[in-house]
Amino acid sequence: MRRCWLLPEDDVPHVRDVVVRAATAAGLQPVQVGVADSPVAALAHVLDGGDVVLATRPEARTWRLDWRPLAGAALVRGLAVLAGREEDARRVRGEFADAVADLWEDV
Amino acid sequence: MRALDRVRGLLADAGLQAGVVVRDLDDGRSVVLDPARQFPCASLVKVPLALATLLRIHRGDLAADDVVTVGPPATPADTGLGRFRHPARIAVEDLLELAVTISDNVAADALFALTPPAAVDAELRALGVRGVAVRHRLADLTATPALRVERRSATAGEPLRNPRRRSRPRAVRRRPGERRLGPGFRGPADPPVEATTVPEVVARRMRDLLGGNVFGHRLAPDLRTDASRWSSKTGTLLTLRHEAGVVEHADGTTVAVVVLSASTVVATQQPEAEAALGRCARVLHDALLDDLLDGDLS
Repeated sequence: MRRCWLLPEDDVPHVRDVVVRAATAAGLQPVQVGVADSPVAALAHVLDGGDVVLATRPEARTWRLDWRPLAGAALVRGLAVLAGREEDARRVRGEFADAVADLWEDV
Repeated sequence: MRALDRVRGLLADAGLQAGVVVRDLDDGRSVVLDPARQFPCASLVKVPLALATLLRIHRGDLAADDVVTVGPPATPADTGLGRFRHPARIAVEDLLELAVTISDNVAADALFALTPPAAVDAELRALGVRGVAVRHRLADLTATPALRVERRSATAGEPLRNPRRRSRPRAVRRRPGERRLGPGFRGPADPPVEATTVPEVVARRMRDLLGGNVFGHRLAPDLRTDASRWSSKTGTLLTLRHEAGVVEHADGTTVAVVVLSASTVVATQQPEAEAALGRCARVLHDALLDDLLDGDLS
């Protein structure tokens, strides 16, 4: 039985709950959606067991996995910015937000 | 192609011979297994019958609310009016509900009395659908020697099928805003036939009827979810187990699935065969959508 694995960082309501709802509507059993212990564990499930992992396209590229967008659910990750000076964090979140987002996309 | 090999294995294990067509109704891509194989279509004939009746109602040849008196049947049938012991008065469009959603043979023959098989056949030709021949009423089909045999005996499943009604796997398309009836499918080498349009209101009614199918033991367990609507007609007779329908996913993806099969096993109840047919439909449906076909769709 194939399973869909979430990375630990996606074990948050605005990702996990959306995925569980979509999985239920698609007829998956509860056991078919799980949170992996770590990205490495998730990859092991995918490579060994033929499961799928919820990841971004850049992540899939890094891990050399085939990637397809999730149908019917728009998912986003939120990121917090931490900096030595709050002033710097504020600028990254503000003026540089678009540039940083582009950088992140290419990671 | 792995998906097709897997399906062939599933079918062989279950003692089934099948023809399958799975087609994405948006881009026309399809996966097929033995599409040229012919089968008697059994109750699938109620689909063209319903379509012909709806077209005639649309044109004003028949009145939807015309009430007819039906039965009780001389020979009881499996469902609905076939089990009634008293005459019933039913409107024409309500006969459609019975014929399609509970596969009511008596209701179907009441509709055939209004639109004979040859006329239904002519409607299909006019729509450009080939590969499906409508020649007989349901009573003709069910009055075969095999059905006089005790149902539980070993010979109940002998392939003494009525060879006079044949159909090949075909994709039938009905979508809101999309008025065409899909091509009759005759083989990978033959191009699909463009058909004249089915009026939107007729297509919608047809989808509604098929969406009300109460028989969910064959392909439905593998295709129907909260996020995907499955509308279909099943056909079961002797060794034949068919189902033809359309799955509409929440994201708009629409796939026609047609499975026609004959069993080499002489048992009437075969839950594993039903499950195998559903599994095959799902495997090919997923292979089509996942585009895992290595560029070769047959």
